[in-house]
Amino acid sequence: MDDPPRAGRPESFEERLRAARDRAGLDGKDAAAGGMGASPWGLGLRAGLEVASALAVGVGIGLALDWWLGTRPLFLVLFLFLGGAAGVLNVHRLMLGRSTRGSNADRGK
Amino acid sequence: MAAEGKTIDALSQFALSPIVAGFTNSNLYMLIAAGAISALMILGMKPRAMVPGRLQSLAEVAYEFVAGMVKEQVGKEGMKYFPFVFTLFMFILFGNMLGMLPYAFTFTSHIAVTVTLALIVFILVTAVAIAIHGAKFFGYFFPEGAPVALAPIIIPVEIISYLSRVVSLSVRLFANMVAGHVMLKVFATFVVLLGGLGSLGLVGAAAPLALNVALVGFEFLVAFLQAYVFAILTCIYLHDAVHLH
Repeated sequence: MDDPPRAGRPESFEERLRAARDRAGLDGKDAAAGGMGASPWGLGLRAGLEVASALAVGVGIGLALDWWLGTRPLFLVLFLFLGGAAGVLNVHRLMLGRSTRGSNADRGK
Repeated sequence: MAAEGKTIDALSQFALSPIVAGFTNSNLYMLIAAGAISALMILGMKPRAMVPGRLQSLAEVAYEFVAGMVKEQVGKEGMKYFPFVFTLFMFILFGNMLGMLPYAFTFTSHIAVTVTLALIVFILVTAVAIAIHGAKFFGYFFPEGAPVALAPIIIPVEIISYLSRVVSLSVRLFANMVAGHVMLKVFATFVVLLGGLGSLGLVGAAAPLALNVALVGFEFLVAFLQAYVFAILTCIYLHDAVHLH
């Protein structure tokens, strides 16, 4: 009531509210990611965990294949590198703000 | 209790002790958590008041918090998974919070428990994706437009990345709870050890005591945050399964 729509500002209340929240930094990237890793320390720990868990899975698969096929250490070496690559991929997705590969395009859904 | 023999015994708090054969203190606290959640929701919603009382407010806030999270992350069609996410969130939240009570046991501090929870999420998400998209789900492991020659590298990497969700999801919750409770115990032991040194020690003991007060507050934050992170990651994975990018 105390803010009647002026000429040249035909946006709806929702749009102006969103613009105001953006200016105040309330809907930033962290908010989209659920506020996780808001601090650099937390973000670093999360990224480290993503790499470590992918490496662990890679090494696990490599050891299992070697144990099954008796080819140690062929698959261990192979999957160590694949695990590392998967870890980097995980961190890349983390840095995009969401774990999805659609990045920000799917935020409106 | 922690300072026997003037050593720091930070890990005995995580020991399982059988109450009845096969039924441990961990199981007991799981039952207490389930009972407390049921009591909160049933007793809280009993008045069905237009203007909610304290308990009803708590129940409504919990419901709306999770419902908002599911709606925002998965979308409207994701609401059919709301009961699952709500149960998961409340179970972990109550497990973490019950662990903050003195003498209580924190069942989320055991990797066996968190891996089980993560596997439930992982299997459910995979089953949902296959049920909705059928064989197209396997296209998830090979992005469209990528050169076919790279398939031998991309597909294993994507599969490892997909499987690593279980590890990161379970280790994050487990490690946070263990680290927090070990820190509390270590600094609490410092208070006892320094307090035993006489008058000078009593002054010195004030520092770890003050730190422990801050840590308790911090642990309540972590207890909530880790339940939230577990639930929101479940929602993000569900989003992936439903929309399949």
